[in-house]
Amino acid sequence: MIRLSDAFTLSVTKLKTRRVRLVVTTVVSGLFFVVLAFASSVFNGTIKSVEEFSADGFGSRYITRVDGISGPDDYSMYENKDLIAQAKVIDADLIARKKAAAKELGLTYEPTLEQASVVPTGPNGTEGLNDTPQIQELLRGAKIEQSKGFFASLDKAQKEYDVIARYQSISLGNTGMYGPVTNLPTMVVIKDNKEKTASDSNQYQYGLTGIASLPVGLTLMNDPVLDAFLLPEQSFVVGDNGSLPIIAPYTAAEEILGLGKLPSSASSKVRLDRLKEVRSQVSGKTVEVCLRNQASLERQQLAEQQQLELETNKNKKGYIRPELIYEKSAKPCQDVVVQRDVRSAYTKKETAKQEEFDRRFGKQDASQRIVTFKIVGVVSDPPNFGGFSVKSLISSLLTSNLGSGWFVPFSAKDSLPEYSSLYADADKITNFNNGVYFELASPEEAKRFAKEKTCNFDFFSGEDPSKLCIEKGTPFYLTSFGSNSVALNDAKTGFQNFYFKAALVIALISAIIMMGTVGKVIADSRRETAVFRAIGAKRIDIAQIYILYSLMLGVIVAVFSVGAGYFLASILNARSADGLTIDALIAYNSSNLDRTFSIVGFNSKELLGLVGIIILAGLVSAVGPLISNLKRNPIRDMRDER
Amino acid sequence: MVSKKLTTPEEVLLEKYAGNIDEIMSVLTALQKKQKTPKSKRNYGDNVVVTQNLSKIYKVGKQKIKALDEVSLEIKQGEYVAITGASGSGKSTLLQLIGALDKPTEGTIEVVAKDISKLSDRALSKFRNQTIGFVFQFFYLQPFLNLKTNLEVPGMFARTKRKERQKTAESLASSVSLSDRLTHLPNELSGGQMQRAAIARALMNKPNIILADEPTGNLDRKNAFAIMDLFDTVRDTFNTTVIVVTHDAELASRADREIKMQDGRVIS
Repeated sequence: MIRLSDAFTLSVTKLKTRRVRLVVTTVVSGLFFVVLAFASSVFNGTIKSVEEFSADGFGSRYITRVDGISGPDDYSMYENKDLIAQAKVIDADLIARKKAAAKELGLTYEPTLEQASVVPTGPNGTEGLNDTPQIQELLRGAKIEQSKGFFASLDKAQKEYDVIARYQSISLGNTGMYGPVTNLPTMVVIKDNKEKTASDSNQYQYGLTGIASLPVGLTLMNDPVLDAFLLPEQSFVVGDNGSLPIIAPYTAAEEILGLGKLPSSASSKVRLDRLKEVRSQVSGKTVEVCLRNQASLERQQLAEQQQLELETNKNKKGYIRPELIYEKSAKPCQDVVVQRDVRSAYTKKETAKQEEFDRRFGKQDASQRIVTFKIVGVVSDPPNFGGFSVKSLISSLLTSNLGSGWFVPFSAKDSLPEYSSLYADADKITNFNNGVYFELASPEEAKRFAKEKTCNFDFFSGEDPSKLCIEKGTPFYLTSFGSNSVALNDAKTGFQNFYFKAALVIALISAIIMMGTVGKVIADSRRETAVFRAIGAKRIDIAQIYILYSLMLGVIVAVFSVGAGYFLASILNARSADGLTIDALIAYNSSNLDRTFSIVGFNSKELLGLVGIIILAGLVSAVGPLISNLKRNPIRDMRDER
Repeated sequence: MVSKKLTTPEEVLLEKYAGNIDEIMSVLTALQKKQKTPKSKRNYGDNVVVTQNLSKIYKVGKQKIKALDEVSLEIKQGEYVAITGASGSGKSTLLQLIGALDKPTEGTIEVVAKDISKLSDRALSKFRNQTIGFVFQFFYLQPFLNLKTNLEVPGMFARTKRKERQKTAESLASSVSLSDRLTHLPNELSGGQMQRAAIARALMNKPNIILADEPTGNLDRKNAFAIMDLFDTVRDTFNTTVIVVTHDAELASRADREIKMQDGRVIS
C-alpha cells in the first residue's frame, strides 16, 4: 500500500473532477441526513434546555401519583347489608329522638318528610344507602375501613421501591371530600369588595382559570413539593394577621394584579415583560375568600330569592310581602340583614322553637368568616394544546405544574379554619380528591414501579378491576405528576432508538445515491487507473485511493448534513427560542429570568453515530464500482480510451 | 528594420524556435551529447530484452487475431530502439508485452533477465514500477496535480520518501528544462512540455527501460523531433534503454536502431 498522505493527495484529485455531480450528490444523499441532524439538534437542545430549566423548577423529579383501583367493591359499600341495617337503626333512632324533641318543644313533626338513609334501588325489593347527613359518620368509617387495603399496599410498595419521599394532597375545594355533606363550608371569592355569587363558583367547573378557580382548586400539598414554586423572599410561614401562604396559578396572578390576558399574538418581549411584572408584583399580594357554612349560605340564597321576588312583584297589586324579609349585607362576608320583620310574637316564638329543634339535630347557626391568602408562589396553568407545529410540540414538554390549582402547604394546615375537625380522617381515605404521591429516586425506578404495579385493565371486559388487579399484584393506577421528567427520559431513549434505525435506512438510500457518483468517477478514471497500473500501482494501491475518495465523499456529505441540520435548527431557534424561553420561565418558575431556552443542542453519541453512518454509506457505495474496476484489464481500458 | 545575418548556431536556433528557450536548450543539449558520442561508436551493455518466438493472439468474439507472430529479438542496455510499422503491425502489442502490461500467448520474454510471463500480478506491478518507465501518446498527466507532484507519482507507488522524491522530481524537471514550471498544472503547459514532463515522470524510479508508445503522435513536427532527441539525451545521461514505437520513419531515424514490423512479424 502507498503512504496515506500520498493516497490522500491522489484521492483529492478525484474530488476535483465532476464537481457539479459532487455537489448534487452531496445535497441529494445528504438531504435525509440533514433532517436527522436537524431532529437531533432540536431534540437534544430541547431536552438540554428543559433539564436546565428543570433544575430551577420541578421537572427533574420523578414523582408518581398513586391511585387505588376503584371498582364495583367501592360502590357495593352502598349496598352493604350491615351498613344498611345500621343506617336503618340510625334513621329510626333519629326519628324517635326528633319525635321526642318535637313533643317536648310542642312542635309538629312529620317523620315521612325525613330524608331516608335507606332507599329502594330496584323492583325486587333491593335497597341501597342514601348519602344523608345522619349516616355520614357511618360512611366515613366504612370508607376508612375500605381504604385500609390500599394503604397497606402502598406501605408495601414504598418498601419495595426506592421511594425517597411520600406526599399527600387533599382537596379543600368546593367539591368536598366526603360528598355533599352539609357541614362543609363553601368558599366564595371576594373581589372588588364583593362576593362573587355562589352560583358562579360552588360547582366544579372544568377549565376554570384565574381567581374564579380558587374555590374549586384549593389543595393542601406537602411543602417539599411546593418549594419549587416559591417566589423569591417568600416562605410558607403563616402571616401575623393569620394570612395563609398560597401558590397561585399564573392566570390568577395576572388577574389579581388587574392585568388583562395578553393576546396570543403578543411578542416574546411583551410576554417576558409581563412575566417579570407578574412575578415581582404579585409576591405578597392577598386574595380573600368568604367561608360560609351551610346555614349562612342558605340565608344568603333566601335573601337573594326574596329580593328577586320583591323586584318581580313590586308593581303587582294585591301582592303581600313576606313578614320577614332579608337582604344581603353591603359588606362582603356578612350574615344577611333583616330588612323587614312584622312577624307576630306567636310566629316568632314558633320560629324560635323550630330553630332550637334544628339546632338540637345538628343544624349550625349561620357563620361566615373571611380567610386571607397571601401569594407566595406562582405555578403555571396547564399548557394548552397548540397543534402539531414543532414549537407547540416543544411547548407541550414544558410541563412543571401541579394541575390547575391553588396550593396551601401542609405546614399551614392548622391555620385553616376547622381543618382538624373537617379533615381529620383525610389521610386515611382514598378517593378522587385525595392524592398519594411517591417520589422515586431515578427514572428507571419510576418506570419499574409503573411497569410492575400499574393495573392494566380492559374496562369493557365486564370483570371487576379491583379484584383482578389486586390479585395480579398491580393494585394501582399510576400517573406521572408535576412534570414530564419520566416521559422526557423515555423520549430520550425512544428518540435514540428511532434515530439510529432511521439513520441506517437513510444510509442505505444515500449509499445507493453516492454509488452513482462514486461509480461514475471510478468509471471515468479507467484510463487513469490503467496509467497508474502501468507506472507500477498495485491493485491495492488503486483500491486505497478510491476507498479514501469514498471516505472523503462521506465526510463531505456528513459535514454538509450536520452543518445544514444545525443551521436549520438555528433558524428555527432564532424564530421560536424567545417564545419558548417565556413558556419555560413560566412553567419552571425560574428564578433566573435571564436564562434562555435553546433548541440547538449537540449529542456527541448521536452526532458521531450519524457521521459514522454517513461515512460508512460512502464506503459501501464504493465497494461495487471498485471491485468491477479492479477486475478490468488496464491495457484494454487504455486502448478503448484512444 | 534592418535584418542581421545569422552566424552562430545559437542565433540559428533562436530564429528556428522563435525564442522558446526550453526548446532551444533541449536541442542544444541533445546536439552536444550527439557530438560527444557518435552512434556507430557506442558501447551497449548486456541484453535487457530478449524475446523468443513471442506470439500474442487476441480473441475478438469468435475470431482470433494474431497480433504478434513468433517475434524473436534482443535489445541491449543503453540502446535507443525505434519500433516502426504500419497501424496493426503489432508494434504496440510488442511494447505492452515488454512492459509487462500483458502476457504472451506463446514464446518467452525476458526483461532484465527475468521471465516476466511467470511473475504474479503484485510482482509485475513492482517490476513495472522499478524497471520500466512508460511514456504515452496522450501524456496522461494528472490534471489536478502540479507538475512536481505529477513527476512524483511513480515514486509514490514505490513508497519513496517524500523529500527524496521531491529532490529527484526537481532534478528531472531540470533535465527536461521544466524547472520553471514545477508549480504549474498540466493545462498550463504546452504539448511539448507535457510530453517532456511525462518523460521525466517515467524516469522517476530510475528504470532500466523507457517504453514510449507513439510519444510524438500528439505533437507538431518541431516538438516531435525535440522529444526524439530528448530520448537520446536521456539514454546518454541515464544509460537507459529507450524503446520507442512510432510509425514515422523520419523520427525513427533518430534512434540507434530501427525494428520494422509487419503483420505481427519483425521484418528487419
